[in-house]
Amino acid sequence: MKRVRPSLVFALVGVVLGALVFIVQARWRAEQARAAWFAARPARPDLAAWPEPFRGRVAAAEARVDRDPVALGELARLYHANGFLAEAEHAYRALLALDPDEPRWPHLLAALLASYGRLDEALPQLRKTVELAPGYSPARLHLADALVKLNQPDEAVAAYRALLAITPRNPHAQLGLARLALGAGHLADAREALQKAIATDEKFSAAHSLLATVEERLGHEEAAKAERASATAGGRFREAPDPWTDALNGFCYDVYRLQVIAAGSTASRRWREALPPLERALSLAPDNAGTHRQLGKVFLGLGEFPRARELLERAVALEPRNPAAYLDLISVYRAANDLPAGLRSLESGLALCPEDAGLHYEYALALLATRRPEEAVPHLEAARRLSPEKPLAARDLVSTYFRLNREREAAAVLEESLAQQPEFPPFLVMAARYRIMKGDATGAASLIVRARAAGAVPGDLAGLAGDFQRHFGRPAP
Amino acid sequence: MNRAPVMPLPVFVRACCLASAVLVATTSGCRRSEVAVAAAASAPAPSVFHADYVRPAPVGAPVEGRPWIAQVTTVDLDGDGLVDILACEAQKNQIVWLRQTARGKFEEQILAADIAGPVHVEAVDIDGDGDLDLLVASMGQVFPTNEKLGSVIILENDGHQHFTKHIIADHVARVTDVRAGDFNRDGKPDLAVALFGYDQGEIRWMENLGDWQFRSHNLLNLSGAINVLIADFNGDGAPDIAAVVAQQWEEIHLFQNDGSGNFTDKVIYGSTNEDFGSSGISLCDLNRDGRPDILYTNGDGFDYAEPGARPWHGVQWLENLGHGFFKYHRIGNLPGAYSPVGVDLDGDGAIDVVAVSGFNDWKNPQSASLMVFQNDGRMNFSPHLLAHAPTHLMTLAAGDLDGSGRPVLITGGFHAYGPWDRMSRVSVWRRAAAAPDTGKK
Repeated sequence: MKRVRPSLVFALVGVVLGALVFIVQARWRAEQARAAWFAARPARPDLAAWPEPFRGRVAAAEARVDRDPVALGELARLYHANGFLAEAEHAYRALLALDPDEPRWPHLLAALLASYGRLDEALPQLRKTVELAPGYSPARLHLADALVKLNQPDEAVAAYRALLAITPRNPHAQLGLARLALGAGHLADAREALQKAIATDEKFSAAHSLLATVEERLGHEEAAKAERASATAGGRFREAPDPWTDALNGFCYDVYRLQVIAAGSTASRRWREALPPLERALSLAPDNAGTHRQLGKVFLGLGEFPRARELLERAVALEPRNPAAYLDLISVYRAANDLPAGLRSLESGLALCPEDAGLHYEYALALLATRRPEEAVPHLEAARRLSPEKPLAARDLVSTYFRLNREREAAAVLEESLAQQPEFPPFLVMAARYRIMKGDATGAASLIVRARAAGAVPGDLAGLAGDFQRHFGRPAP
Repeated sequence: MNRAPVMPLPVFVRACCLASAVLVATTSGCRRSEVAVAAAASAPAPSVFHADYVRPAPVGAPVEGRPWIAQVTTVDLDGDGLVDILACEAQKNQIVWLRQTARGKFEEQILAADIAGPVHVEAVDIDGDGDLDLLVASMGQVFPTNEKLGSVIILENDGHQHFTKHIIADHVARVTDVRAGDFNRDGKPDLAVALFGYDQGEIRWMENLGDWQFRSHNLLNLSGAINVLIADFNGDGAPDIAAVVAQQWEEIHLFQNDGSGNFTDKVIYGSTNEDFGSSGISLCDLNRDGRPDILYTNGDGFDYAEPGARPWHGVQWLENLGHGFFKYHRIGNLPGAYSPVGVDLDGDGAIDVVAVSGFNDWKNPQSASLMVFQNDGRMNFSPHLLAHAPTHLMTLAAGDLDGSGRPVLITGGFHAYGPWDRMSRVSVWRRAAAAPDTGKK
């Protein structure tokens, strides 16, 4: 028998052992990695009160965590989007270690920490995100904004400029630079930055309102007034789009949070954007009156009146003692010019909510629109009594009394209302008109001056001036 | 040749895995027991607080309609030795005085009924005649508007609690707070003013020129100012101003005074969450180190959406580290948190933090309207529910109303939205008789 050479045996054994060690090490590493992913899974909080789709998605993600790294990211976002701070933070921090090259994890962790007020802890995560994803502009914006709030204005300016280097027309970066310039008293710089922001987004209300302040400081009152009007027309402040955090909405199963997300869109008249969260909210809680109301108002905004009517009528049926539901619905009837249905709905609402000022006021308006002023009077009186801080009911009550030739009552309400709200232009205009009618030139003149100072509508002031001239034969002051 | 038996590879790997599993299990077991020991060591003693620790009693006029009490504060307005309550009724445009005529007996008087949307009143002797005048912040209209309807008003006391109205600033952005401090050290109290506005707002200080004349100095041009606080925050001997601005800014600013009325602005806290909901700040030396700290709530839920809470609402404090530096600490969660007050409620020598909720989920009867965060003396806070009702509490004060050395809480109900079934106006909360004492005082 041929003898095998010992060196060959040793070599063979060496190879086999080497292969074994390699395989064992690889398996060991894989096991360790699997254990690490498994350990990264946050302890499940009590989810008993949560909807089944959420619990199911959490359970499915948990089951996959040790063999599918994507699942931990899903779990983190599920907890984040539904208000589970500790669990989401735990998962994100684990992801930072296990998946260190993915920029979304520090970005989302920063968003989580910042939303709960822990901005100093968010800052390193924001820096990390910018390092990993230098081209992702929302991360740069968040970093710059955070630096402002952490009282590092010079670094913030540099961060805004770095952002403008990659997105030269970024209006939020211009807004940030403008507020820093305004804070430092550099009005011209602030104005320039805000004008650039508005040139990019003419409906950017935050830029308009800050520009109104700058114009005021510069003594440009007319320009300030125009900016204030643009700010109001622009609607609510909008955060800059951030696809990575905006995607969290798809993980949300909290009906109220979905309603809040949608309200953020509708407040700036982005109706279509509000549909997905509201539709999800409706699927989670089909009998939630609030969702029906919101969705109805979205369709109203979109001009889809039949759908709006259907949803708002359902909202009233679900919550018949909520006066706001009737008030929403009246807008649909008004848009459809269906006054009889509006009156019927308001009557039902008043039967169940007799102490609601808004319902009394709307009902009075509907009665006035159908030429029933006598019937409108008690409802205007009720609206005024129930909400004395709102002047419109008093204004309409005064004019209705005058229309019905109930002069003494009109004068009494006018006097009381003017004492309570001495700068409300309609009261001043009506009081001036009354003084003219009574031949009191001095009183009328004084009220015209006050009405002008209070910013009464130019048409009303012109009318008063004409009446004054006709009655007293001289121009109004 | 006899070869040593070789363990089959799968067995070897399984053995390795088993060993590693044992190792992991042992290690985790260690960790668990360590955690358990640590938890046992740090387990807090049972708290004296419970849901019936303090009980509310209405004072003053009864609830009629839907009260809008925007603020309550305590002061001995008539100097009779009994602490009274002042309140702002923002819907009825009233400043009311709940005068304590005898211990525990209150008589309500309307001091002013023509101040549009009053939301803050502060008693201070502005004219130096020895009686307390009233500084009033008037929003003009509480609900959002860009109209310049705000005013700063001083009600001058003739010494017999008859008041004459002085309008110090008018047709300005809606005013939410006014406080007094002598910023330029000329011996006359000046004013720090928060103008919330809506899209446009401001922080300013108003220099007292005498004879009810004031000159305005702008400090900050951001909307959403809620509160101003005056204290020597940086320890240089001059009164500084701290202010919180909400809206999309969500920041707390410190305006450091050089002693002559020249201020330097510094952001001492901010959130990039534009829905953070800053709702108020108050002064309190929480850690008793001699430096004024700032208590801070975020709980505003009345903006663009249906009123309600957010998961990040809660109570926090900014620890004053000296020289204008502050450190943020979260105290605890409270949906809809408003009006933080530092007070040693259980008499254990450590200042607890009490806060109310203005925007909780009131359809759920278990939602908290009053909570205390009990301080263990080392600035560790444990939350305790004090009440579920009345609901919609937007303002809180604490004072020794009874002269017993024990604090009494005072709350105000602001019922701008439903449900309307657990309403209150002004309530005083005293300890329930059966409540156990800590015995540590």
